[in-house]
Amino acid sequence: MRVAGIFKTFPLGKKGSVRALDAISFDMAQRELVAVVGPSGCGKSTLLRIIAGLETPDAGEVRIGADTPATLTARHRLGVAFQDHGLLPWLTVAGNIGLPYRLAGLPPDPARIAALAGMVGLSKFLEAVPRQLSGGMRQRVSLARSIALDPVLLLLDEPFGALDLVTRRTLNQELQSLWTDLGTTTLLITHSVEEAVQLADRVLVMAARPGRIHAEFRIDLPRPRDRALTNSLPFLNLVQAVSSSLDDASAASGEQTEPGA
Amino acid sequence: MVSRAQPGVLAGWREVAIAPFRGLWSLVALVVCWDLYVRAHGFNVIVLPDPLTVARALIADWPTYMEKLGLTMTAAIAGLILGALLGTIVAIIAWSSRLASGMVAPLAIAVRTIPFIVFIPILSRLMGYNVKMEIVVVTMLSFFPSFVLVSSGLSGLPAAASDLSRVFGATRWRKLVLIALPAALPKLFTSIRLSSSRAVLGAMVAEFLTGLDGLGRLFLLARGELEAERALAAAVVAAVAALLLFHVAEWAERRVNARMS
Amino acid sequence: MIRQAPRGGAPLRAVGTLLFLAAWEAIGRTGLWGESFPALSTIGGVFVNDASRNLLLRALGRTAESASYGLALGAIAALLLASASSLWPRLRIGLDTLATGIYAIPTITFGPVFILVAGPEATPIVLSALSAYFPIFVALDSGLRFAPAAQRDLAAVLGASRARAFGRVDFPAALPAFVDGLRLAAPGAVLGAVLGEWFGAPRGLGVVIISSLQNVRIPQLWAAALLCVTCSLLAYVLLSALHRQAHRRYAW
Ligand SMILES: Nc1ncnc2c1ncn2[C@@H]1O[C@H](COP(=O)(O)OP(=O)(O)OP(=O)(O)O)[C@@H](O)[C@H]1O
Ligand SMILES: [Mg+2]
Repeated sequence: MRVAGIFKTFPLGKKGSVRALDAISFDMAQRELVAVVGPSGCGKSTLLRIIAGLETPDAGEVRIGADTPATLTARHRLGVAFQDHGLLPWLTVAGNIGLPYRLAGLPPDPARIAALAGMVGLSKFLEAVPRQLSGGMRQRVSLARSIALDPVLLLLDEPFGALDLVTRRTLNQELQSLWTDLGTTTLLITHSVEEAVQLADRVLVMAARPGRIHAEFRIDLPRPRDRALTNSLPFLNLVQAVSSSLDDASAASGEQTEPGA
Repeated sequence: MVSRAQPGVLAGWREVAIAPFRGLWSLVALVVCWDLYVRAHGFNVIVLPDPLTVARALIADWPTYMEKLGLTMTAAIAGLILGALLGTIVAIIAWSSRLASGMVAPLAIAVRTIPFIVFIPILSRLMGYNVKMEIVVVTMLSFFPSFVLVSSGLSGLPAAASDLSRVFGATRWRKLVLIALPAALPKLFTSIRLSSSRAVLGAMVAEFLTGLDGLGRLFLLARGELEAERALAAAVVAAVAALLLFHVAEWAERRVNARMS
Repeated sequence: MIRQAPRGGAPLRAVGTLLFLAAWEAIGRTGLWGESFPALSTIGGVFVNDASRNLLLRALGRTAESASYGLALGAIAALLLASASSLWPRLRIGLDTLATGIYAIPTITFGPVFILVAGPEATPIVLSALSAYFPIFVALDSGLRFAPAAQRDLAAVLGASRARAFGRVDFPAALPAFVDGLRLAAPGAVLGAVLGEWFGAPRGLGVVIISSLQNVRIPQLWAAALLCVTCSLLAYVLLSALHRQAHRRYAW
């Protein structure tokens, strides 16, 4: 996947505007998992929405192999999990996981749905509705839904954002094997540096106003990255490095708006 | 009113049966006031009969009242359902095209400001004095609230739900059937509840004005022959039936709400 | 109740309205739906004739008067009911049932009672009040229930009695909701007045409607019905203006 020279400016109020994204370019190899961290409001969600084709950039282009976001969604091969899980309250877990099939006009396959639920550890909850689930369980349903159509590209916007630290760690541990088995090219947006370093092959650090890529870290740690590894010095060093880069990025972030831009 | 979390069908029926009686003391007080009023003024039964006389008249001719009630309620419920369906269909048409939705927007004001019942005499001229006219009257009364509420439900779809259908490449039709319509279902049921009393009113006024068979006509005849107790008995029957219809509609609305959110 | 207008700009709305009126005129002119569906211009023609204009306008005045009294009466009833259930919460369930019950029961069933009790002259007012009070009650009740808690706490801390807190805090806070209820109730008030007139009141638009129907004076029948619509539209617009005022002054 290639993201080339994306610019995006939102109008704000009468005269002002926000330069949400400024010349964002990066490549992703197949099967690569890239994590994006950055201060709040630096344009991470906007970037993801542009890659998903939900927002059009002012300039620049997104290519996924030979596809554009539009052609990829038309082929139903994009997977997205949003910041707020966005489950439909009237559908069961099975219904929600199978929703992409029905939206795409494909017959839902009960065996596949059961397998997906199993992958995220919700086999026993297929007939439950979202209101009967905990926050973490809902996030996992949303995750299972995003991979239902066997996507070419998976976009995850803070999939564990609403969770407490402990649950989040547990989920990260549980889902690591799922990640490597799946081998889907994945863009993961997160607030947690530890999570980024633990899950990703590469971490991009963004700075705000204008939203831009501030630094890039390659994570060459062996997998699986279990408790032992996350307590090891190389891991902690990398976390340290990304964190201080994130601090720099925050300090380098500009004013909230630019009048008359 | 407090709604219990997800009532079972049995509990639901208990609610339908009990809800109308929970605050019954106030209605009992009303009947007592009526009785005291009649006694205090020493009216004779032709002027204003006391509750007991009305009850006797009701029991004496019970089958007739039930038969007329059946006619009136059939027209009222048929019209109520037709109006709700028609309102939903027009709301879908308006939803599917910006042009149509802009053009039918004044209807939203119309529903708040136009006393549609004053058109019953005109409708009876246009359609003749028959049951079809009666059903059309009720259909018209319930059409507008359903149209407006379902419209607001369809267009008030959360942005997250719209995004969902886009990233999974859903057609507009699938989005409507799988996401927008289920999300608007509670609004449809609210409109049915709001229209329920107007439906009975419309049916009875149509019968009253045109002499079509039903409770309204019973009313008309009793009044003509100065049989106040029969007129009042018809009123009591209609009132109880309308109350029951309202409560059934309210119960259905609650169940749908519990299911869909 | 119904707040959200469907999307679409003012021009589209104007086009929609104009199309509707044009279609009406065309159907009437061509006689497509028979002579019971006259063109708008034919209906307007009724007002050219002095006699029928005077008849209609006098009837309108009468109905508007009944509807105004009815709205006022309905407002007072709603005020009493809502205040009572706010001051004595124990009464709430019963008063709720009473309010909803009277709303759910078709107004027509009260007709014979009030013809007997209040007489044909006053029946339009009573029925108008009966169909007007419910929206006011609902609006006022929720307004009183959601009075700003901080203000109420302040009143409690200052040792105000329940009644005083109600007068000084709850009620002013609920005023915009009250006016909103009035606005939503206006069409019901007009409708109630017409219903009451159908039950045998001597004058009013309802009477004109029935007599025009019996004498097959179709344009006059339509004119009277449309005057009812105009009347409730006007009331709605005026009360909306008042609502904006109240909102500006008392909203939090
Ligand atoms: N639809 C929009 N209209 C106007 N401005 C927007 C819009 N969407 C985003 N922005 C602006 O773009 C900037 C980036 O927003 P974005 O949601 O991408 O941030 P983020 O990095 O995802 O933040 P967070 O970590 O808090 O989720 C913000 O300043 C925001 O105000
Ligand atoms: Mg975000």
